[in-house]
Amino acid sequence: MDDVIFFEKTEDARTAVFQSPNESMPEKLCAYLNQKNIRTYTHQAEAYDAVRRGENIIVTTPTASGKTLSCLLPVFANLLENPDATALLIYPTKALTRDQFLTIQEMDSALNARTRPAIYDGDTKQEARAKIRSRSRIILTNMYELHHILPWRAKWGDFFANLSFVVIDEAHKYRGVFGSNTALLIRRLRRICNYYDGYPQFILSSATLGNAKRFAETLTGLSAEEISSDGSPRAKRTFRICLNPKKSASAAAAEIMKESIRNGRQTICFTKSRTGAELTALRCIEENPKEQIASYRGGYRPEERKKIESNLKQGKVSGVVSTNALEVGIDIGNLDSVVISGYQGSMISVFQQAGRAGRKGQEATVTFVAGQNPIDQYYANNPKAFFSAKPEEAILGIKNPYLLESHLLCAAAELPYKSDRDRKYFGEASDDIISDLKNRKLVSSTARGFVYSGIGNPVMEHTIFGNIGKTWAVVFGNSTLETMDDGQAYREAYPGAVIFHQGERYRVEKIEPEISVIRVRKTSDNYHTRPISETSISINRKEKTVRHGNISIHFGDVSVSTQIYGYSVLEFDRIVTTEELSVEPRTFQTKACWITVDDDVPLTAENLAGSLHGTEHALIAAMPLYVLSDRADIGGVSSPFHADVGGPAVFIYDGVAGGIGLSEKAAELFPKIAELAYRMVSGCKCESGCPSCIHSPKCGNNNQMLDKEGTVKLLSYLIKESK
Amino acid sequence: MTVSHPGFVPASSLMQGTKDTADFSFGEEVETADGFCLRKETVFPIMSRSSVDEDTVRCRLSEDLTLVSGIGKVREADLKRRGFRNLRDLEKTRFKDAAEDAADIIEYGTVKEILSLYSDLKRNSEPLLLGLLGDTASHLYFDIETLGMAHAPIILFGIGEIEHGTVKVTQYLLRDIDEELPAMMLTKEHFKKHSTVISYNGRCFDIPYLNNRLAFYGEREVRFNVHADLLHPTRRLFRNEFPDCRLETVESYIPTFARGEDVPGYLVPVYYQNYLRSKNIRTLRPVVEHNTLDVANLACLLNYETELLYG
Repeated sequence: MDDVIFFEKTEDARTAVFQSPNESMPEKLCAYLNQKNIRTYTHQAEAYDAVRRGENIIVTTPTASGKTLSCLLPVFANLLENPDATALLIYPTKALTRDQFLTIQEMDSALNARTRPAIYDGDTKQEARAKIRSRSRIILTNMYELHHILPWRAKWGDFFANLSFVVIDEAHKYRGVFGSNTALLIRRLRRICNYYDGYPQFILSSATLGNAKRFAETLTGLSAEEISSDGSPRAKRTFRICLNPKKSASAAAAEIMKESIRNGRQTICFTKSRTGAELTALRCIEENPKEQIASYRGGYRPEERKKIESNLKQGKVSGVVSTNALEVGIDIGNLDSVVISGYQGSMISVFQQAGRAGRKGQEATVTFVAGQNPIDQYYANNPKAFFSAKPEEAILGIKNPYLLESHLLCAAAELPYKSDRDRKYFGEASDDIISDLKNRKLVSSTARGFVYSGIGNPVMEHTIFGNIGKTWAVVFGNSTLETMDDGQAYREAYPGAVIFHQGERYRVEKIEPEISVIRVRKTSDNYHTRPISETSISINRKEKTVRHGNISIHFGDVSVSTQIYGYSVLEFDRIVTTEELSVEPRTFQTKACWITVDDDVPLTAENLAGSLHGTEHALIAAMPLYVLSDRADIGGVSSPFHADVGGPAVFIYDGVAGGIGLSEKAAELFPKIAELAYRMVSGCKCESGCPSCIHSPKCGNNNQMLDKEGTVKLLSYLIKESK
Repeated sequence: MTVSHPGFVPASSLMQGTKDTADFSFGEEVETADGFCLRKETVFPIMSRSSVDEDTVRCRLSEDLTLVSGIGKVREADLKRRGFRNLRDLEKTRFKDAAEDAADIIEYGTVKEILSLYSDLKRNSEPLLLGLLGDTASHLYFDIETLGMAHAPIILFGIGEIEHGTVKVTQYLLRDIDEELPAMMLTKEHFKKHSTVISYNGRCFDIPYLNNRLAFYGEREVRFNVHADLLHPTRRLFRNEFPDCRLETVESYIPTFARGEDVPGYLVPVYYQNYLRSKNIRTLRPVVEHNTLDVANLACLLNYETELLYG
């Protein structure tokens, strides 16, 4: 590995800092801690005290610092003292719910707390539901399910009336549009609890965030304390950036992983994609027994995942390659070495993944392996920027009128809506929205307040948490290997595609859309496939044009389609051949704003494309602050010649089908967004583009064809003309 | 299709009953503490059946050997062939204990205890249990029409009560959404007078829906002793005979009050939305008549099934 370059930074080991809670603790709970030989760390004690004092908290200590206990101790203390009190625990994934359920069940029985913990989600059997609602005092669920159960007050009234705690695990997952929806959902929950005279406290656990306290307060609508003084011990940790100019990130990551396993160190490697995880695992199997290497990702059957998790904990597996599925707090213990294969879109993720490294007393290593794309390369060439990067801020837009309308409709179907009483949950803007809904006969005024009076089910009509769509089954012989959602099926399971599953290769034989089945056969050759696709945008209808000085920003209805027109067959990283495919494009309707550029723009024909592309990225990077969303909620397309406008154009669209007002707001605020974008790019000291200016973590073209100088020129031209 | 059956006025002779209302008006306005709504009463001349003798029912139920765990249909047939006719006959077999427990409940238990025995065995749909519904005066036949499938207001409440050999259908209709609560509170009064609710798919739909709407307004749920959802015994009895077991389909095979131009259930929301725009109450006539017949025919259906089993 002669050409490999490493940059290193070492963090010293830290011993545990213990602290006992000051607030009272039920005897049973003290006895439990004694018996288990648990001494609470500073953050656990602080969390306990704050919650017992009646405060809402957000705990932001790293993975495996005992966050679960921080959240559970005060909950159990209260539930032990108050036999009617209930708690709702909300997790972002079903896998995490199941994992945490075991911990809670164990704690409940050890404490003899009689909380009868239960999972209540889409998988809960119909006949078990009534019993859970009436008996369980701790219910584990997800936001999607909560959205569905809120209107069933006859069934849930008692539980909500006694609700003392809402625990939101991995709260940083609720950012951008998804987070804004969650924030409004939480307000709906609070409104109902308050109606029953219940005032649940909120306990959030989260990855490290740039703005944890403010984020928690916006998400819940209540004041909150941040608990961040990590008291857990930490092993000495070496952070490395690895640059291997001759190899792909996947190959380089596999090399590092193999070496680490050779040295007897249990290793986890995080990859960007599902295929990446499987491929890297395959490379590791070349020199390790198959049963010692596992791949892990969404789509696996629950029992398969459980097995991998327990093998990891017991040390039966030396290496696991995972997507961000293992980034969340699934209890697999910590490992000796973490390999991060390519930058995965946010520093929040990097910190979460790095948190998996470090066992008691042993030195830990975190290696970031830079891939070929410009973001990775930038960090590899500017290690300081990487080591000093801060976690992003999580942004929520609770005033978004589209989201507010959907949630107000749901709210009016849950409990009659009274403007005077309920304005405090949804803000001043809710008055206008309610009166608009009344004119549209979607709510009616009654003596008890506004009542939902549409004919559809408001919870289903407004697919607030995204349209889940179909689930496809990948079937080999008579058994289901795994499941995929619509998008994954389109990108990964086209006819001829190679699908990896736990080190085996399967080739897609037949797709049966009527029954959502993808039939595969086993294959023994060494090939894998990569789709060749293109995203294009077409204008369905221009709805308005906003003028800023001499610049016109158009806004309207568009179709964004991704078309796979073939695939490359690769052996390792070498393209062996390419095949053509004729499959239907995958299209979604949304709203977009776009600008066209005239002939007088100070750019040459050669750097026009790169400048438009760079401007697109920079505008998208600057937008979240103004439209209050996450970068991932916004998409863009740029072209030196777009047929629908007959010239060069930059499109920015809402990533949510139907549109939710992001690009609409961007059209209004264009001069401000362009100004910020300009400052970001022109003020950036990099030479030809970096993640802080024109590189985008989700660029479909791998950040190729970017022209920084041209971008600065184009942005300054746009600002000047828009005055 | 008219099947002549004792205890029923032939369905054909009732057809005019609904046609007399060419000038459709919806009853009168009623005032409650929560506001106003409309009430309409329609009386159907049904010969009330004399209720089944409870001992007969107990006797028939005790012939069901499959109430004992370990005895399925095949073993039951075998035991019957060998002369074990009822649960008591099993006392000399290895099923003695379980059979005795079941027999005690069926012979001496209250109606509620018998029903919960069946419910524990997940056999609520047993048609023979219809014989236990007691005096018709205790019955409340119930059907609602809603503006949507979930979380939308109930726009029409239909309640049937047996009085002097007739079915009296009382309906409460909303002239606007703000009348839902008054209509629901009036409906609740009827529930207080009856201990047995009879519905068609009410276990899954009408009753939870009503209770959730009550909870929505912060009111208490309705309570009753027994709920007979005729959908399930009907399925058991006629699954193989009728193309499906929707109430409309079942009606066409048994003696019931015939429907005129009927509105299919899924169009009810559309009719009501149109009404809200026009405020012309006449446009709701098909919906109101649909609901009246749904309620009245519940009584016919129960009569028919009871006669079939015990007549």
